[in-house]
Amino acid sequence: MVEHLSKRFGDRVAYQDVSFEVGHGEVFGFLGPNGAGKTTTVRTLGTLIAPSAGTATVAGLRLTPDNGHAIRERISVMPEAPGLYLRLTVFENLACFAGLYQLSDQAERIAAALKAVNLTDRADDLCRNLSKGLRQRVGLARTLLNDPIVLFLDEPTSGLDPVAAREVHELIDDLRQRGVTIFLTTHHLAEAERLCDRVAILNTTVLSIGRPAELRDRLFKRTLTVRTRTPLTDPDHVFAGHPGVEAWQIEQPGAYVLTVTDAEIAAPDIVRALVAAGADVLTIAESQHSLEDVYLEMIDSDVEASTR
Amino acid sequence: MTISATRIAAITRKELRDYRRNRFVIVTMSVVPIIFIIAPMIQILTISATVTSARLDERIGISLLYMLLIPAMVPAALAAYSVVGEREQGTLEPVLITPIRSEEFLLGKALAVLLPTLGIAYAIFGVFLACTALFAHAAVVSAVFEGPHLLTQLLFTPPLAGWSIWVGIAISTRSSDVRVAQQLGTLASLPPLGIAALMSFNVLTPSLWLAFAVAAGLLLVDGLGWRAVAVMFDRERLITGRRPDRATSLPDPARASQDEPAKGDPEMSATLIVTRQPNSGIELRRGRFDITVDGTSVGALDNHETVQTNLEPGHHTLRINAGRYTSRTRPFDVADGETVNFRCHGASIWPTYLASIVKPDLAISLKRG
Repeated sequence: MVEHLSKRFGDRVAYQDVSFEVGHGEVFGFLGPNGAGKTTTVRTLGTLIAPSAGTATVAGLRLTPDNGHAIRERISVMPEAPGLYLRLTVFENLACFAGLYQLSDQAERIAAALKAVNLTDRADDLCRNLSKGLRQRVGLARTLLNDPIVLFLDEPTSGLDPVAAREVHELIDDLRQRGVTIFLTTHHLAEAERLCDRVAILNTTVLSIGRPAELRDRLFKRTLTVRTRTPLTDPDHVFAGHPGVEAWQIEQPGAYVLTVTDAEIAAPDIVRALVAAGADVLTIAESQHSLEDVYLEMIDSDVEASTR
Repeated sequence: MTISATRIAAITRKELRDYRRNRFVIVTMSVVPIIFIIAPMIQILTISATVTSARLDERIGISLLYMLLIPAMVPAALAAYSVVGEREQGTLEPVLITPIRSEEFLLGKALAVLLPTLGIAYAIFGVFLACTALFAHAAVVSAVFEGPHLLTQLLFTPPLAGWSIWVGIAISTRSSDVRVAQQLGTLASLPPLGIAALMSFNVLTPSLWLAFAVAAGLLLVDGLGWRAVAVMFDRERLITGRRPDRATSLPDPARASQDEPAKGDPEMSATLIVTRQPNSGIELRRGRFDITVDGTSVGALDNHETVQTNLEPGHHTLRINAGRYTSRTRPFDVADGETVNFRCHGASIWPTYLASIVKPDLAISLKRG
C-alpha cells in the first residue's frame, strides 16, 4: 500500500502524492511517459531511495530505514538494464546473488531459476557473449532466486524480440499462478493490457487507477458501428427509441455509429429494427478502445492541463 | 547488526573471478610489482663489502621502502575502481537491492583487493630475499635478515594495503568518474609510507614493540576506515547521483508562493547573484550546488550557471552546499536597490579535494565579486 508518497530531488519533483494499493498475487501495471517517475517509484519501494513524504507498506512491512534490510529479503527488483557481470558466466552471476540472499540450497535454486527462463543449457556461457534478450532472461532468473513475495519488473521486455517478449509474458503468467505479486513498469500498453489485473497511469502524479476495461469505460462511451449495403432511407426511425441507445450519427453513407449504454442489450434490438426496415446489414460491431487510447487520452489531457 | 560471512564471501568470490578475466587488473597487479623490485635489487646487489654500517642500513632502508610501495600502490587503483566502476557498469543497483548491508559489501570488496595484494607483496618480497641470499655480499645478507627491516616489511604490508584499500574505496564511493577516483586513490595511498620510512631509516628507533604498536595503530585506522566508509556509503546517492533529500515533507505550495520574492516588492529590492565558474575550468567536486541564504535554500546551480534571487535589504549570510560538503559561510550586507555578486566553484586541485574529506567546508570556494 502506498499513501501520498512523494519524492523530489532539490527543486525537481520526481513524483508527487502517489497513492495506490496492490493486492496479494495481483499483477499491477505502472504506466507513464519517460520521466513520469516510474523508475524512481520502484527504487523507492525497493528501499534504494528515501521518499520525501508519504508512507508505504511493501511486502507487509512499513517502508522505513530500519525495515530496509527485511524488505529487501522479501522482494526482488529487476531494473530496466539487467546489470550483469559480463566477465562472469550465467551460473556465476546467479551464484553471487544466491550468496547475497544466503540461500542454503543454492544449486537447486539456480537450476530452478534457469529452467524457469529456459536458460539451463546456457549456464556456463559468459554473459558478455549473450544477446540482449538472453541477458534480460538472466536478469529475470536472478529475481526469482529468493522466491520473492513482491517482484518489481522495470520494463522487462524492453528491446526484446516478440518471441522473447512472449516468453517473459508466459513467465509472468506463471508467477501470477504461484501467487507472486508483480509490479510491472512498462511502456508496452498491449503488454499491460494482456498481463495486468489493474494499471495506474502516472505522469509525476497518478492520473488514474483501475482495471483496463474500467479505465476504458470511464473515459470512452461504448459504441456500436453498423454498416449497411445501402444508406438507410430513415435512419432516425430505425435507431431512435431503443433501450440502451443514447445517440447515433452517420459516419459515412451506409455507416452509423451508435452511442450505447450496454452493447449486449442494444445490439439485438438494433439488428431486429434493421431487418424490419429491410436493410441489408453487412456488419454490426462494438468499437473497442484499447488501453493505448486510454493512456494517450489521459497523458494528452494532463499535458494540456499543465500547459494551460 | 549481524555481519554475514556468506554475503561477504559472495562479493569477494565474484570480484576475484572478475579480476581473473580482466586484462587491466592482471596487468596492474603483475607489472607494478615487477617495476618495484628492480630498483631495490640494484640497490642491494651493488653494495660493496666495504661499506660502512650506517651507509649499509641506509641502502637497505631505501630498498625495502621500494618494496613497501607494492602493498601501498598495487591495491590503490583496484580499490578506487571498486564502487564507481560497478556504478558505471550498471551492476551496482541489482546488488544494492539485495539484503546486503553496506558493511558487508565494502568488506567483500576490500578483501577481494587485499588477498591478491598480500599474495603478490609477500611473493615479491620472497623473491627479493632469495636473490639477496644468493647474490648479495654476506654482510648485506646478514643486515637484511637480522635487522629490523624484515620485521617492518612483514608487519607493515597488511595494514599499509588496508589503508590504501579503504582510502581508495572511500574515494570510489564519492566519485562519479573512474579515472579521477583511481588517480586520487593512488595519491592518497602514500602517506602511511612515511612511518615505515622513518623506521626503515632508523629515524624512529626500530624495536619489536614499536613496530607492533605502529602496525596495530595502522590496523586500528583500517578498522575505523571500514566503518567510516560504511557511513559514507549512501545507496540513494550511488544510484541517483544526487544527494539524498532528507526532508520529511514536500514544501507547501501555498507557503512557497508566499516565500517567493515578488518582482517589484519594495521589501525585496536587493539582488543576490551567484555564479558557479571554476578558475581552471575543472571541478573535482561535481553535482548540483544548493544556495543557502540565512539558512534557507533559495536555489541550486550546476557548473557555469548563474542564479539570481531577490533579498530584503540588510545583513545576510550565504553558504553553498553539496551534501555534507559546503563552502565557508559568507556574511554580507546589501542596501536597497543594490546587487551583490558571489562566485563559487568546487575544489579544483587534489590537495583541497582530499582535505575537504576531513574538513567539508573546504570543498567549495565562495568569494565575493
